[in-house]
Amino acid sequence: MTFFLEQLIIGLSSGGIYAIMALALVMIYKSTGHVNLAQGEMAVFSTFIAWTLVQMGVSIWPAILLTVAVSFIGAIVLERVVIRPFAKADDLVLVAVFVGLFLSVHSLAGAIWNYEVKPFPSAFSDGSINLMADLSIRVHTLGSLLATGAVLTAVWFFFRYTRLGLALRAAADNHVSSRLVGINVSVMLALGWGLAAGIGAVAGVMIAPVTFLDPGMGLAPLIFALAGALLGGITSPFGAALGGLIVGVLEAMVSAYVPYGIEFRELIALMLILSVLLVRPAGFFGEFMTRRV
Amino acid sequence: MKLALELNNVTASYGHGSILHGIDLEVPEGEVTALLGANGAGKTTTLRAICGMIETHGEVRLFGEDIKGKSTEVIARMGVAHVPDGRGTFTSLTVMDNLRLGAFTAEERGNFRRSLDRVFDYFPRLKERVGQHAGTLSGGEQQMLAIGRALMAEPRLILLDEPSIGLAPVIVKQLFEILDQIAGDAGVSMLLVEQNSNLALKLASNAALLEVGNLVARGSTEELSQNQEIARAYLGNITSEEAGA
Repeated sequence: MTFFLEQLIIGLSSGGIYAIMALALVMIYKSTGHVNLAQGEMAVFSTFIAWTLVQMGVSIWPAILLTVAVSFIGAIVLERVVIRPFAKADDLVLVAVFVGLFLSVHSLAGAIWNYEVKPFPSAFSDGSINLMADLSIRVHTLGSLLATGAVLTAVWFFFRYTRLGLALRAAADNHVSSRLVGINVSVMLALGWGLAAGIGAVAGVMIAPVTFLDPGMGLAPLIFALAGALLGGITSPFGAALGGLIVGVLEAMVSAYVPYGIEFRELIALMLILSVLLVRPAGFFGEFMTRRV
Repeated sequence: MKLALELNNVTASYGHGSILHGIDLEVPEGEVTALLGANGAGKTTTLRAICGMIETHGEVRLFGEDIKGKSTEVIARMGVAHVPDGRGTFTSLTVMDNLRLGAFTAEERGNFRRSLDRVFDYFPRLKERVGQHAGTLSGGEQQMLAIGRALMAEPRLILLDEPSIGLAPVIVKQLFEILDQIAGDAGVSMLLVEQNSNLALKLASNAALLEVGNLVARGSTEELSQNQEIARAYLGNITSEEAGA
């Protein structure tokens, strides 16, 4: 039982990371109809920025905040320079653009920081907390769970209760009508990218202390986040976040209880993606996107 | 006569296809102008041209100001509320959120509560549905929401694109009665695109007639409907007596 609880908490902790990554994917998908395949690589790049700041002697929390801010601005520039020129291009062209972005960000991180695996400091204290008699959990695991929970709550609050959040939701729902009520949609799209990258940066610095930091670190979380987003519904922020949590728990359980599970947990995620696409393509909380022409 | 809107030799095209071939149009302030014409005549395109939604040449003056090159959102902020073709409600958002978005440009004027009460007075049905997603509303309710959203902006000029389309006759009748009340409100001007010219002419004080991208006639509704030839060709089966009544 204790072992199960431990796995559950570990699963929820990594699930929280997938949840906010999934949320970042949904944000861009809802407003543009594109899945940002480079979301994971961008998060890794952000994490390297945080790592550099820490190496320069900045303490971890200010480094994280600064990284989030830099990622936010960097993604806005990226959207303007790289993505915007393809706004009216075919879907296949955009897939190529995103693959290109994936490879470029990945290689750039490798070129700047090399491919050596680096330890990344936790934003929380080392050691463990004793929750019950023989159940102790690493502080980072709990801290990460709280941090991703805080991000989810803040994002929900922002979209639900602020004027800017409402404008972003409107822009995601209908570009033309948004312009007609006076919303600058192009600013909203850029802002969406900024927010997604900021959230991705949080995911990166939370996962790096667990997986260690290297340019290839972003792929697995992206696959798990994508599985979560598709499970919950890539048009539903709530569904995607929930899906991310479920995938995290599933990953932990498979790793713990299935022989050699740790070896093929990514396979489980891919199988999940496939089965959702076969059984319920819109996900459990999503709806089909209708394309306006 | 002050003009809310004035078009001089406006041409517009989608890609390579030219739709408007140089039209002149006037919308007097505080009045309803009907823009009539058959399917494909360019009525919707005219509204889109006014709002800067498509590439346009020629002069568009809004309350006397040349709005050439201004973006759609800037034109909206100048007091134009466009109820577009297909209603354009935010389907995944609630009725209340749709209305809040209508007031997006009017927020600093601080009349949100008053505008909301006014919209609910006109459309009590919307009040019952505030928490519902716009996509789950009936066609008539969606049209009410689209018009309600336009009113939330406290607009000086309302552009209405075929409000009657796809609605049951009884709903259309109610809707036009409410539009008549709205038009009676001091200050607001309307440009109404309608296929149903009988309805439009009852509401409007003047009208213009489009035929494949050219404006072929304009004037007061009386003048237009007294012209037998025009009346027969474009205004359906309306007779001069009916229109004058």
